[in-house]
This record gives sequence, structure tokens and C-alpha cells, in this order.
Amino acid sequence: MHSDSIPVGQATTSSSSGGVDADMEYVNAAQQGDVEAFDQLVIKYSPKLYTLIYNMTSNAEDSRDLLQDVFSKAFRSLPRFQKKSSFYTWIYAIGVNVTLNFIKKRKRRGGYSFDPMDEAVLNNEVFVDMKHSSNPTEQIRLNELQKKLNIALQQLSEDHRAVVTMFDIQGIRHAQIAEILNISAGTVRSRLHYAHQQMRSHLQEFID
Amino acid sequence: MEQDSEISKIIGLKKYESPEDGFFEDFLSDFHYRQRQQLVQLSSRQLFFERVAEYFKNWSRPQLAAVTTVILLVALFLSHLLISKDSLEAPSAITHTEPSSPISTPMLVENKFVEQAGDIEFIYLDLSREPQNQDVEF
Repeated sequence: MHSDSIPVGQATTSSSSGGVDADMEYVNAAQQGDVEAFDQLVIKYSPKLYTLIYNMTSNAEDSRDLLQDVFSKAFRSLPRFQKKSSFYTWIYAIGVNVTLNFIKKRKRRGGYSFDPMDEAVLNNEVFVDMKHSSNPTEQIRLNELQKKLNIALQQLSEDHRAVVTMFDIQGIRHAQIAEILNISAGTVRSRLHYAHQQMRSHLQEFID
Repeated sequence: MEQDSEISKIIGLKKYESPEDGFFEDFLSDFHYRQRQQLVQLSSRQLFFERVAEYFKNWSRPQLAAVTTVILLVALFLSHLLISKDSLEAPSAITHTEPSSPISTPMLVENKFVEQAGDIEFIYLDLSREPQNQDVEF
């Protein structure tokens, strides 16, 4: 279980100037053939990209394979990375595209395969509030919440799921989501609003 | 907006989902292993075609059309050059090569006259005798 206050896969300082400069140092070295420099980028971005892919697919087993695919593609494409955007934006775009292609090629909706929920959620104020406001005779079971959250998320289209994953789950700003998906910030906001409306109808029992 | 905020916080609980301990620590070595496997399996020809496809993927249609036109023109020019070169070279006259050895006296071998001229062996049928079936070969 993770002891960090910020759960795995959350956006941290990758968009800060210090983080971006460090990324570019590794990118430059990797483009010159330094494989260990690319390894550092793998170590840094694998948790974030895994979270993105997992929440897009709700399938842990598929996510493991897709994460490999994303970094394989990034490694092969790195010589052509022109640094017009940050490495963070670039590799996130690869992650989104690889995952969307996988979802579209999948003939039917894949089965669910959930990762365990960190026990730290039990202390999260939102979860605590849900327990207190629910019918006192009914105990909210964590796995029930997890299942319904994932089902609700999978009811969304892939495009809506992508913005919900990046904004609500990973805390990425609208402007950065827009850059990753190559859409306007306004489109990001409207997709979020629509997605929230859809999910609200599935999660009504957990809302006051 | 407040409703959006409320549902957003509930969705945010998904951030507590994470793979088993050690997954990310092992991921890098798994990635290296897979890369080596891919290199072994992927033929150099496949890599070449993949890279060519990636290279042209970002080209616009006018760019592709221009390059295709240039390639066709070059191919036409080269083929014209080759054809012209062929026609310029005079057809070789029948060259008489001096036989490396004098023409030998024809010899009767198995009812056939055999004459050796250099490396060429001339076989003359003996027309003086009646044709027999075994002489006719189709």
C-alpha cells in the first residue's frame, strides 16, 4: 500500500519548469543514444500513464500490456520528437492514442479487471461523507463503490472518458488536457460537463 | 457547477486504485525484456517499412504528389537512357573466332559423322543409309 499522501498516478510537478527542464535533459540524452536516460523517463511516467490507461479501460491486465506498448512506441518515435511541446504532453498524447486505438479495435466491451483500492481511501473526506450521509442501516462497501464507479465511467464514450480521467482522477488542468488531446479548452470543459451529467445518473445513490 | 464539483470528487476516489506493490519497480525490467524480445522477432525489413511509413505519415498530399511525380520522371529518364544506350551499341557482327584448334577430320561415329571445330561438335547424319525409327527423335 502506498504511504504517500498523493496517490500513484496523480499529476505532481511534471508541468513545473523544473520538471520540464529535467525531462528535456533526459530526452536530449536519450536522443543521443543514452538508453539509461530513457529509463529515467519510464520510471517517472509509468505510474501516471498506467493510471490514464487503467481508467480508460477499467482492465488492469490490458493496462499492463498497453503501458508496454506506449513506451515501446515512445522509444521508437523519440528521434522524431521535435520538442515543440513538453515531453509530458507528447508521451501523454501517445498514451491516449494507443489506448483509444486499442479500445476501438476491441470488438466488444472488454471484461473488468480492477486494481485494488488503497486503504487510504477510507480516510478520504469524500468517502467518509458518503458513509455518514447514507442510510445508516446500509454499509457502503468499498468494492461496491469501486465497481459502480468503473461501470459508470465505462458508460461514457472514449473521448469523454479521457477528459474525466485526466481532470477528475489525475488533476490535470484544462489547458494541458486540451494540448494533449489537440482540442480547445472550451471543448474540454463541455465534455467534462456532459460526462459529469451522465455519471451523476449512474451514481445517484452516492450523492446527497 | 456545484453538482459538477460534487460528482468530480466522487470520481476522484478512483485515484486510490493502484496495482499491487512492486509493479512499477518491476516494470522497467519487464520493458527491457520485452524490447529485446521484439528486436529478435522483428525483422529488419519490417523495421524498414515501419520507419518509411512513419516518415511519410506526416507528409501532406501535395508533398506526396510532388515526390511521386519526381520519382516517375527520374524513372522515365533513366529507362530512356538505357534504351538509347542499347540502340547506340551496334549489333555485334557475327564474329568469327579463330578456332582454337584446327578443324578435325570428320569421323564416322555410330553411323554419324562427327566433326570437331574448336569447342563445337558438328554431328552430320549419315543420309546414305535408310532412315530407321531410332534416328528420329521428337
